[in-house]
Amino acid sequence: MKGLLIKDAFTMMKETKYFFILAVVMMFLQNDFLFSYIIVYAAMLPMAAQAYDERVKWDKMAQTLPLTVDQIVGSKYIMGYLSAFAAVLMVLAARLLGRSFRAEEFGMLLIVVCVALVVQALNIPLMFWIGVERGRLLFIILVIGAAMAASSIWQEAITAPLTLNIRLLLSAAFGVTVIVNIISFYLCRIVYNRKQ
Amino acid sequence: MNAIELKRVTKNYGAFSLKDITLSLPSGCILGLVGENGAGKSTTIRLLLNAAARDAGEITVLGRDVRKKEFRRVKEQIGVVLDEAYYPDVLSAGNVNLIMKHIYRSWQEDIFYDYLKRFALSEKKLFKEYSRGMKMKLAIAAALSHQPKLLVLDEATSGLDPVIRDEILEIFNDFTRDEDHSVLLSSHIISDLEKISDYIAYLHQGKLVFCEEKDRLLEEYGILHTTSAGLSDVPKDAIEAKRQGRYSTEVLVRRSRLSGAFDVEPANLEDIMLFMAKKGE
Repeated sequence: MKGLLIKDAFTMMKETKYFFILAVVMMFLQNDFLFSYIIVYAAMLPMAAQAYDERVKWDKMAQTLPLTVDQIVGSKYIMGYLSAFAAVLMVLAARLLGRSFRAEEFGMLLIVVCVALVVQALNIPLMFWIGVERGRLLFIILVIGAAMAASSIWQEAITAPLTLNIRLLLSAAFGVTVIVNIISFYLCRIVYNRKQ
Repeated sequence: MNAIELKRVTKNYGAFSLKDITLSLPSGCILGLVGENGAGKSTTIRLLLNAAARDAGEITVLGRDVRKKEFRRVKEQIGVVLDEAYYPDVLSAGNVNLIMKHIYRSWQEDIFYDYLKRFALSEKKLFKEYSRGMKMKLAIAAALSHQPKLLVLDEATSGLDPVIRDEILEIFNDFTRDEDHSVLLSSHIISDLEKISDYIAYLHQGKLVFCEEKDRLLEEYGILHTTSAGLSDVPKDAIEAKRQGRYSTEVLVRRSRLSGAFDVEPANLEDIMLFMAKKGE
């Protein structure tokens, strides 16, 4: 699987540059929507990697290598988790540098991550099923919807933090994210095997 | 031991199906898989790499059923070159080394770099800047750099100029000097197969027409030119297929079933295949 992640890292080099530019812009703007967007965007990087794979027909190659379906499919999930983690670090850094970070925001940041990872979990089986090219519109709607949802949760937390039980919300979000991702992974395996 | 064994393998795709394929590749040999475009060569290769699930039959590669979990380990010993080298454009040969090093346990960096040198491939040049010949050479270098016992080549030489093709065929030939090494080479370029194959399997419209030793094929079959009237003198069991013209008849015959009285011309692989295909129709 490490080999696949390295391959995706090489192919996503350009996208990653865009990612870092966004992070720098973010530091100056301190815009909440932008913060949510960058996390959701990071979790969508597997889709960009898959689109690239489809373009060069990498799947044909992958099927000839000593890789399991779990590794081929799983590498896309891992890539999304790693990118989302990197995005959280960048947002935290931007917030801290802008001296606008409040302790309670950390929980909300994690909720935004959960929203992003749920969207990723919805996207990955879809992209293996219908392909990134054909599912483009659907994915865009999902990403914008997720960014807006994440942003409004964030706003809610900032404006009225005491009205929400953050710990409960965080536990629920975490639980849902784990369950949705597990179901998504197994679904994705079925889709991949069927496509063979 | 056979490196590859297919027994009564069937795969149905609706519009196309591969029917009842039985063939084997003995270790240390080169099997040429030939057939027109869409005959089922790539499907056969996909099935034996377990990249597609068969509907019926048995497939073993290097002694293992391809459906078994442990086949993944066997894949370590199979070098595959497809009709195109499907590497991402932005990779360099150095990147390919880094990726494959983490995919194959038996990856040998030094051998890979030796091949890069031998093929005059730049380590840093991006894949998109390579010519088609260079791309195929990179794919071949990767296929040979993890101690494979079996090479599976799906149209690996098509679209290449004769000089490069010859160079590549020589590499495959060298590979089988070790008696544990075998090659399955699928192509519709019959001259390539004639040059290096020990066995020829001919697929036509999803059916296996024959799978025979090449030398035996060339010894056994011949072409007899005769007339419609003269045809009745030819023993029926010697006639494999015939092509009726207005003034003459060409017959693909089995030499072993004919007496020396007939003037039989040698048949090449292309002749044999064309006759057999016609017979099938």
